[in-house]
Amino acid sequence: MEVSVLRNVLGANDLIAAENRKEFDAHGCFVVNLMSAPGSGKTAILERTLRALDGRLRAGVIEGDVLGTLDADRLAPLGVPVVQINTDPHFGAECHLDARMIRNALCELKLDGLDLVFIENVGNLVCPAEFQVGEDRKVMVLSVAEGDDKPLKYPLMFRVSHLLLLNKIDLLGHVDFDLARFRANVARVNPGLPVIELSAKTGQGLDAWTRWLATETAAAKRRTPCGVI
Amino acid sequence: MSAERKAQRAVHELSICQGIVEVAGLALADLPRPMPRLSTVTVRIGRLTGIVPESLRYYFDLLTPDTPLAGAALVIEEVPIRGRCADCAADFTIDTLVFTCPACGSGFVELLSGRELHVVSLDTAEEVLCGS
Repeated sequence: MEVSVLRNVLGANDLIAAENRKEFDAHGCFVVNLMSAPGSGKTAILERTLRALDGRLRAGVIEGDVLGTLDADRLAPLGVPVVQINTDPHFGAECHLDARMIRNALCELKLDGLDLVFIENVGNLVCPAEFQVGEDRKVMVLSVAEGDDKPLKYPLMFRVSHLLLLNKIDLLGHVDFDLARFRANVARVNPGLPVIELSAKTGQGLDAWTRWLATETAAAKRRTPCGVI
Repeated sequence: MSAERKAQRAVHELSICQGIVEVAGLALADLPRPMPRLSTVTVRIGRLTGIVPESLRYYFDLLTPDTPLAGAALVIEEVPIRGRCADCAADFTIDTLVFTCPACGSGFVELLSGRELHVVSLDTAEEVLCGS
């Protein structure tokens, strides 16, 4: 006897993500879910970004890693509130952050007075694409050292992202990365995806990214006081 | 399966499979009458999720023995990636991971399917008499 039970496997996660989103909105916080493979430069971009913002936007960070506090330690001198999540205790070293982990982190991160929250996801181009955490925008980072074929290998990540930061462009010419071919590959998977080329090392292109953050944060603030979205 | 995907087996399919076991277990508990000896759990998985069916079955067999789903087999219905062009309204299947409209070349494509992660049905080997 067969019984139909149609249920979404990620339904429970999506409900908690919606609750997180409500809480962020209630505090007028714009939330960025920052995703990439390990070593693309998420933390380096955050260090550089937080310095560049220099308090113009008050930011907090939720750091996700399988183990350790290396990334949170790097951000500590910048004087912004940082909460570290380790996914290791959550059954077999989880490869992504889910909505429940962010919910728990919100017990520690005080949202009052924050304009902007960065959630630095676990380094992985597969799983984080699937899990909502309550973010306004998904921003992915790809470094040129990873190769220009990645949109075709990880299409979901490139499909769900609202913005792509192409990092380490100071290495162009030293690695086998063809910018035109990369843009063509992005266009095949997600033609509307904006790309900002930058280098967290030299600071090149950082202005475009901080301008994007300022514009999006202001837009988020306009819609949150009355809860109108 | 490529070496790259095999290395990732430890991650992606495990968390999705945990979700399947949890959701199917809840659905089983919610049934108006108990379902003895589950034979199959059927799931619908969109191709854009990147789930490898072989890995999902591997984890299902690993995770279910001490649950109400013990002994059940996992049946996977794969769903193709389908899109609809916002400009010319053409429907098409995307099997080469090119998300532009094959009819008019537009990049404005709405996804119709391919991201499914659903538990769709539970089956038991035994016939249960209705209304008894």
